[in-house]
Amino acid sequence: MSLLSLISEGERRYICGGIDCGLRSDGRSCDDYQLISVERDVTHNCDGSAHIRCGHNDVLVGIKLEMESVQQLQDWDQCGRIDFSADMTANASPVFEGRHGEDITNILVNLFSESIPQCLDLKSLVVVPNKHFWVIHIDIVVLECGSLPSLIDSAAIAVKSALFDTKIPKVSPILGDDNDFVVSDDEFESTRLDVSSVPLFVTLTRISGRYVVDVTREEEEAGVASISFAINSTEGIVYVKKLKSGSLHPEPIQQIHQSVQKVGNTLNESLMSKLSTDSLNKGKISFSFN
Amino acid sequence: MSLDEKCLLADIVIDNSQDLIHTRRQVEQVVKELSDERNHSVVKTESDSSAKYVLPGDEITSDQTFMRGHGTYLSTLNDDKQLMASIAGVVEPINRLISVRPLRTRYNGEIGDVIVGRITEVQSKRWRVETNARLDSVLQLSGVNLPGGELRRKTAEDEVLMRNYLKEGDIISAEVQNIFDDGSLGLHTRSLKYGKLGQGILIRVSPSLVERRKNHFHKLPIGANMILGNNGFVWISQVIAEGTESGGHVIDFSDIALQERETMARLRNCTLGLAKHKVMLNDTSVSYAYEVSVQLGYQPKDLLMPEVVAVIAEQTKLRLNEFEGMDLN
Repeated sequence: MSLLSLISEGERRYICGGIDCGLRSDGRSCDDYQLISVERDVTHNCDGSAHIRCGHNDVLVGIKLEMESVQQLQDWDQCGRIDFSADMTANASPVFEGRHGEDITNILVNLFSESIPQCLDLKSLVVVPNKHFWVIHIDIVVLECGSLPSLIDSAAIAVKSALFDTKIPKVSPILGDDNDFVVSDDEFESTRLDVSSVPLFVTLTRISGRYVVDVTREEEEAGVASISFAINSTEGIVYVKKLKSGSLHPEPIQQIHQSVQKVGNTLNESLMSKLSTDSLNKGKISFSFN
Repeated sequence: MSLDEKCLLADIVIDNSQDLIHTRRQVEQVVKELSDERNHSVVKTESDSSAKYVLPGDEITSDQTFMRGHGTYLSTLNDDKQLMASIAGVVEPINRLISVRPLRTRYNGEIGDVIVGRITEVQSKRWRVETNARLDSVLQLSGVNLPGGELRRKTAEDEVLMRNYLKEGDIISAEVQNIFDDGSLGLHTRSLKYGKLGQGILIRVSPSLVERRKNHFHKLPIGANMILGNNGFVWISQVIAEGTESGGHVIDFSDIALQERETMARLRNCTLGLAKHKVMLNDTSVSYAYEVSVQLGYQPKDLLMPEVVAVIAEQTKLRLNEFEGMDLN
């Protein structure tokens, strides 16, 4: 991010001064998200997909299902698998051409693979006990990147929406042949995953004495470090990770625990209610949490 | 002639001929249609009102005597050589040369333009500045003023101290001095009003939305300063007192009051909203948008919503058209 990660001293002072007053450069307060716009079922050759636009972040998530057979019976833990992969395209910036976006994609993949699979019922992905199971491949394509903290939040919302949208086809084994199946093409015979426990991420950035949500690129540069919280509606905070190399005091983090949970719960509730009510027309949904 | 005067005339004509009422409505309809044609979505200047907009593949002319400029190509379809446009833009005929100027493009610098840019590199005897052009612009050491405005030859010491004045990430306002052979721009800050910029907000819009004017440094009556760079970078800052320009050597890092921050935030959102709706940016349009947003009672953060911004842009266009209509009449 060499060309993009520059900020002047004047801008930094202005941003820090604004956050001390509680008024950011664009008029938002420290807890305000920008308008989030989510569209489901955008890619028809995927079993589930979602496209999110939030501020300067544009993320496309596609989910494909694959049937795998058990190799070593004793090593298998009786459940399906989820595979994450992320791609930072040159669309976001010419800087990300080739392998330069790998720092960011590695962060995304690690964050999600360590927090999301434990909240899904992977046992339901078993097709034939001890023989075959579903593997869910989740591909995240970043089309535009504002700042890393807000990208994580947006990508998490897109992943949850895409998982909600995923249709697992009904599989009927052919009698007499253990390795052959009939995978039903009928859309109405498919089942959905239960995504009510899938966590959403709230990433806070420490800027001049306060923690700020959904930062822009300039604000991220003016910040010290960021902490990412994964919050779900049943268990609260399920995963925490610190990003960047600045140092943070532990006391303020303990103090913001409650407010982070509240923000996370509001996010979860709004998203789930919008997704459920929209399931009939599958149109674009846009909402804000302020 | 205004719409009302035309209707009055139509009234007189119809009364005299004793026609039915619905004929009057027809005349009103035609007059309204003619007036609506003038309400373009991009508020253009006088010279632009007769401009010809083309899309890629549109035919410009079949006349063979014209020379082809940028954005055009010769097509030999139908055994008849036609001059076609290859980009979307405005046809610009200069004597016998026809070219198409694109509306959505990177910044093409002209000598004398005021730009706002960000330093990306410090090299020996010059700085590289990002200005949203095809190539990075260059600010030579000989093109800046030394502290205090003194005039002396640049010594070897000055070269080493370059980083003390401008380093990577700093934002400057400058003027285009010359254009190098490869097309990159040479900048200078040889005036006290140019130089390093202090506290404020930088926003990026399309360069086509900023027209060339005599003055790009605006002290807006709403209580903020705005520099409209020709390259599409807009710098919003607090009101700077007259006579304290120092060429950027003295930066004011004092706290800015909450009221001023609100003004700047509102101005930022209004400008971005206008840019989204393709309204030309100048001190008038931006001030109108600001006043409309205050009148309608929106908070600065409400102006981030697309619906709100659409309303503001619409109202601004109406007000601008009103005053343009008055000028032409």
